[in-house]
Amino acid sequence: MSKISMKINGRTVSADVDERMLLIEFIRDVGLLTGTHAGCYEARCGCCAVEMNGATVKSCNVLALQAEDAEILTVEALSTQRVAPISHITTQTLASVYKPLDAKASHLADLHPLQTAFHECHALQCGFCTPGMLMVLKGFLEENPNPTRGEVREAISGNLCRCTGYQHIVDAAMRAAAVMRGETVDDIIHETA
Amino acid sequence: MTPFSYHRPDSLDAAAAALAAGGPGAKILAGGQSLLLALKEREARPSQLVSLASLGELRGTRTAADGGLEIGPATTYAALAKTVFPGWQQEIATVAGNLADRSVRNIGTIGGGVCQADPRYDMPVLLSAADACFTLVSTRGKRVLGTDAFFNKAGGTHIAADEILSAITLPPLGQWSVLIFEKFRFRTFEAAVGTVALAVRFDDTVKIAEARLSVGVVAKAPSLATKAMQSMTGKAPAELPIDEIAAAASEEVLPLASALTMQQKYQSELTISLVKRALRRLTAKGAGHE
Amino acid sequence: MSMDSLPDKSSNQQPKNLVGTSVPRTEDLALLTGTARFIEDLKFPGMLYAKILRSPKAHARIKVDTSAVLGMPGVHDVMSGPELVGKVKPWGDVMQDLLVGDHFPFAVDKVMYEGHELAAVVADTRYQAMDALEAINVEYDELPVLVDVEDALAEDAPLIQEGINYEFGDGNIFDRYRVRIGDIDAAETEADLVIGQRFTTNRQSGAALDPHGCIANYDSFSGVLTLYSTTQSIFMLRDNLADALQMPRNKVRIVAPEIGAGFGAKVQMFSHEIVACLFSMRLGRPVHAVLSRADIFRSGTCRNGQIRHSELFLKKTGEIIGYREYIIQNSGALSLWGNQVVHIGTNVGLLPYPIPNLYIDGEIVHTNTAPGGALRGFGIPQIIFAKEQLVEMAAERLGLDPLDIRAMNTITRGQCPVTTPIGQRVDSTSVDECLQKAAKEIRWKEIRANKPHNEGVGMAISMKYTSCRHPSFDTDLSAVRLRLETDGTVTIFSSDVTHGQGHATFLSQIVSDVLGVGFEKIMLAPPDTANAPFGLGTYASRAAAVLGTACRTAAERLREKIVAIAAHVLEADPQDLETGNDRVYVRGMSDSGLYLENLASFSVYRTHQLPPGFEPTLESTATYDTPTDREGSDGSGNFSVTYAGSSHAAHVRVCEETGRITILDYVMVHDTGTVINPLIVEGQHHGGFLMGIGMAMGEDYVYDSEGHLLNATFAEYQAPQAADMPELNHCFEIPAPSLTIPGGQKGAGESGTGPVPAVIANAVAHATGVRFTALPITADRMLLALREKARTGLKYFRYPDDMPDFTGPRDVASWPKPKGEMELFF
Repeated sequence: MSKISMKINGRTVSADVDERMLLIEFIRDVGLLTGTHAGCYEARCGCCAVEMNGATVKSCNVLALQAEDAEILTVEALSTQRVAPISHITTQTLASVYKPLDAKASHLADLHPLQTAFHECHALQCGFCTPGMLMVLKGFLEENPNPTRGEVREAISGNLCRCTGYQHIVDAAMRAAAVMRGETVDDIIHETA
Repeated sequence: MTPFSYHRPDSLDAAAAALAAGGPGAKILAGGQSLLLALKEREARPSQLVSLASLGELRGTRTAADGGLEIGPATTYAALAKTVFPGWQQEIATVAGNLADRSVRNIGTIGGGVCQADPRYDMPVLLSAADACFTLVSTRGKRVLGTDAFFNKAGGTHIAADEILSAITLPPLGQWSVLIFEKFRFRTFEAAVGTVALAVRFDDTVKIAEARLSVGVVAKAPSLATKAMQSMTGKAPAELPIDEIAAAASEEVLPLASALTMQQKYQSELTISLVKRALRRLTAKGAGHE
Repeated sequence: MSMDSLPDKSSNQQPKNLVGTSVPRTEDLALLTGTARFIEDLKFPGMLYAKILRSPKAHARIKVDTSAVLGMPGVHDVMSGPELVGKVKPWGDVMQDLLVGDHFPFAVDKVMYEGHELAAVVADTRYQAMDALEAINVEYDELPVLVDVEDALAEDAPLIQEGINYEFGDGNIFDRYRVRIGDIDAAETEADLVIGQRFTTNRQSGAALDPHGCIANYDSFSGVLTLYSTTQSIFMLRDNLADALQMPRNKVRIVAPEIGAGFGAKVQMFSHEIVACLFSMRLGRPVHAVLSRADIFRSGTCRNGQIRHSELFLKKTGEIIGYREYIIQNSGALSLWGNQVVHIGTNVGLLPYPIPNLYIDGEIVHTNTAPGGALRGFGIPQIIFAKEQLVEMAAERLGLDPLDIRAMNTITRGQCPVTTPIGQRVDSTSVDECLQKAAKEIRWKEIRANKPHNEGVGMAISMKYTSCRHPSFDTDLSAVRLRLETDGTVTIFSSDVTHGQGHATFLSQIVSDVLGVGFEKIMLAPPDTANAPFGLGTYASRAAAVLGTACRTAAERLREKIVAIAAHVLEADPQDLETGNDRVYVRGMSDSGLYLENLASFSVYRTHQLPPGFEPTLESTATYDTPTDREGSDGSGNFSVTYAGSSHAAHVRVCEETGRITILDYVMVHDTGTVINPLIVEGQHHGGFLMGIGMAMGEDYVYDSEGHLLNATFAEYQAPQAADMPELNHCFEIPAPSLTIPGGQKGAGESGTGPVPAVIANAVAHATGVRFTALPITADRMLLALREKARTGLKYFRYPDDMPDFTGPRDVASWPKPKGEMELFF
């Protein structure tokens, strides 16, 4: 067993761990953040991608010990849950008499531009590969703010998806890139068939 | 994985000592991108891991005393890909940026790939063509091996169990005029199914003074197509019978008579195609040299 | 969790009709933020970890010795096959319709495939369980291994499934198939051209990224066994599990967590589910069993491989008058769904051509390889690969344009509703228009008139069932229960497990439109057999049409109740009432009326306000069982309630130096009927295409002669990556709304897969003159075929038939015949 400490999403996490513990296991079982997924343990599918000291790595193929003192960012860091009034859906007089309670939740308005773009472009179906895709794209777009579709495809070629065929993911990445460059994008018109 | 102890020495000497003390069960951990796969499959069962994470001296690139380019083996592929190297040495950066995938390149190291020496890996073939040298240190001292002595024809390398690769040194700029790497993969980011690397030095009249043509994948270590190399010397690139040389090189490293499986037959054809591509690029560069 | 929606930029009211709109999914927030809980994310106090030892040998008699395991650190229990004999009931009969159970949690006295379960251990940690597996001693007495299906048919081939008497079995054949429609001999006489070719297709893994897994939690106090599992069908799993464990069904509860896709590979019960339950029952603690990627390749079920000896009979005009075929299917060592792939896939795959004379024989065979199961496409890609290539080969021989042959033979929109000779009842289609559109978009005529060197175009046309009558259960049933809660919100209960298809979204769209409830007020409950109505599950592209119809009906029933109450309270005529904006109001007076939330609470808390005779509470349940047939003994029947249509076309370029085939352009045109959510449907087509392109161009199960799967890793398995996929920006819909499904919708999940392998093969054949009769079509095969074609000088070259090392039959005359007298079995 070895003592280890690292920062995950800004929070220090320390524990005594089996030397064999993988970074993904540390994040999920010690850090209690289950957004990072294990699809293969072979460093191929990319579902486990996280940012370590500013660069994405496949956390299933890194020992927790290799991340000693590192700054780790996971998908949960792209938008944090916050305490806010829950939406009131009662339409009646209760609404004007009592104020809504606060609860911790994720909010669409707080999403990272990539997450928003994924939502608007239907870039996720089962969602299992999504956290890894988001982390790789985040790192890629920060380094390459104005990519071509081909460059985006190459950037995510270390991430497998079996549901979307990648098309909407590339659409979302291009849209998010525009937003991240400060450009205005058209509202996605929700078209009828 | 089976259990192991983990050490993170803060100097190269300490690392060599830890490796020696650990005996045959001790293994070096650089980026871990190859090693961890073996650990998870329980194919490798080390009792001890010696991490190079604190050894800054093994990262980065510098000019060696003789003008050669010394690459720290613990340099990540991503760092190499971002570096701008002079002249033909730039091919190192290009190749480093076009293997594995982004996430693996961010932590995988050139030394790790070279020591794993999988026949499908890019760097061993590239370094073999460039005629690189490999410095190995241990508690017993230091030695430098040339490419042909470093890679083991039966697979892997000739690194002793207690040795650490401490430098990969490319020859000085004047040694070559051009370094060209060609490969083919089925999918964008996976191991190559064919690799070819060509290093050429032109003389003053832009004729080929020396050539090294290294072919990967077809054998357990990079194979030099020596006869093809010799046939190139003394000619200008534009004079080269490209199809002939390509066929001869392929025949030399994987004789058709031995190419029995479909995979081997394909490798044979692919080697021809990749050598042709390398030679065409050489011709284009040769033209640029005038 | 709150249910906010994107800030509404238009008016306060949502559009009147959500069905037909690309509403962004409600599922997304949890998935995007990493807060959704997949199986591996669930933790229970006291949870233990089970690991399964699997056979490294493909065919051997075994003796398993687990005695060294107990007493190892952290180990609580161990089990293997022999101790379960007579206690756990073998399963498989109900699914296969073959009246025999040939599935068991572990191999008992022999293993039949690499990966076959040998024993299992449960321990405190994963590592302790894995260490314990290494202490299990197995003796193997090796038997000859049958990898190729034709070897399994040989007279002297060893029997793989011993001691099992299959109804249609004979040696390693475990099921047979037969179609006899019309008069094939007359057709042969009448035909101007009979063109025949042998085609072979590959095994393929769904490779859903979320591994198969479960957590069993047996409560020793109540005797209730709860299983959380990555399953596409909670009720089929519950009933199979309860049956195998001989437990009352009301004491077995299946709950589905968030599931990361399935594609058909998660639609049956697996050994690891039984193992986890058995351990949990013995120990009274939760037991976790999640498979590794290598396990999933070897035992998680895969597409069935086929050899199709196919002949197409045509007149010189191009009219197709007959089809004759002998199919040999490789379903691995055991298979729950495999035989139905031949039955259903062949029947539906004959569309869109209403061929009058059919003579088809099929043998479904065991080999010592991975179990075959359901996978996206379900036999249709295989028959289309054969039939649509024969069409282009026939066109070449007759001097016709393949487009014209297809157009002349396909059923058309105008003909519908139409019943085909084999008995399919197609209520509506636009597949003929899809064909022309695909041809136009790929520039079929231009490219064929002016063919660039090493480039070519290919097409295919196919139809897909929208759900299918379950072959052995004789049902195609889904159900939805709706509950209008006392505050006007709505809960949907369904047992058809969503695993990426967006049920929570599109079912809410339907409910919102029918009930007039705000979209954000509707929630889909997690699938749980404790509270969901019985339904078959999500597979066979059935959700939108079958589940959607059950949902629509349930919503309409609920609406009737709501309107009845409102009519009573408002003293209005129900005919004058409208629903919308969470209200029921008199038509024309939209600002008045009753809020649903008041109305809903009346219905339970102020029952004197209800109309006389009205039954309190606002729940409604509706089922939908499609009007479909079982297969007749001559192979006839209409298995599907409605049919989606697809026509695809590709423009490819082949590299002469490496063999790489690049898709320059790909066109997909579909008929998905009335589309509930266009963006979701488009996503389904893209995903269907991905599975098709993987099957066509790289994915495969590579075995050595000893039955070892050599590429059971993502490193080797050629799942397409983003940079290897073409841009899919030529995707069109030509809707021909279903006349049978009330909402007009058709299935979308698999339409994108069927045509793909044929399209690629046809395009490559046009580009290079090399016709691939085997899958996958890979760069190495392409290059070697080009070299051999150049060497032989043949104008038309077939791979692998015309390669020098090919040992199979090269022409129709040397084809094998079915074993035994097929007619005796039917």
